[in-house]
Amino acid sequence: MKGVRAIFVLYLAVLIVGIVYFTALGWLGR
Amino acid sequence: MRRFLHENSLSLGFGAIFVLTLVGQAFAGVSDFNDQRVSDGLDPISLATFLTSSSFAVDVMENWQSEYLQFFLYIFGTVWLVQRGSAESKKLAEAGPESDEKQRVGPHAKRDSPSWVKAGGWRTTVFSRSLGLLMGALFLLTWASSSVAGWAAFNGEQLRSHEDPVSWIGYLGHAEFWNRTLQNWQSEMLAVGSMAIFTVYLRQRGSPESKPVGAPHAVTGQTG
Repeated sequence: MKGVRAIFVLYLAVLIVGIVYFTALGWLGR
Repeated sequence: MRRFLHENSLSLGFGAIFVLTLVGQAFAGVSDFNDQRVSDGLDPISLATFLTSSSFAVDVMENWQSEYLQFFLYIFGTVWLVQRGSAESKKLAEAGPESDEKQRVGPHAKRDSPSWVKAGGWRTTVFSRSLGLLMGALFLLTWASSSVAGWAAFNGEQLRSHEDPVSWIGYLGHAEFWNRTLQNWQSEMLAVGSMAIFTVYLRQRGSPESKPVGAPHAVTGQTG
């Protein structure tokens, strides 16, 4: 189940990084 | 390695398609954006500049938010709402959160149950709703993100057409924000409703989203 957990964490990481990145672009007025 | 890929092909496969389509969106997006700029008499921008623009950000976030709203509503809604004959519905008599025995919580937790189930108290309460809570949180965060990115993109357009920029609060009440939001929501609701009702009479052999091919139309909550 280690590999499964890694994919779970990867999906969460993509979502969190995406949300932070795209919010920052808007916040910085790019 | 082959075994790992096979056993995780659903998440890895869709993850790969996600990356490919996001790359496609970036290339199509910058091309479309530059067509608009050239017709407005402005210089085209590079792909790198587009990828760090609020225009790209709002296009991604407005779609993410509606997908997570869809899953959030579907996960919570299907606790209580049922559809006779649908593969997507639980059995009609099981509407609601169901008994502790059926859900294997409290004294009915098994030795191999997740640790937060065996812990009891607030941890079991949270874990019992963790899937819906995560989808709901992702919806709220992506929706907020789409509003911030949409606000910046909107103000860019305003400045290019020599109009006054608006505040973030002002953008939340603006028709453009709600047009972007609702055009995504309506399609998600239609798709969910279609899925619930189409699986009554139609089948997809081998798919867990469908009833077994030979199952009667009237049978509810069976997957094959």
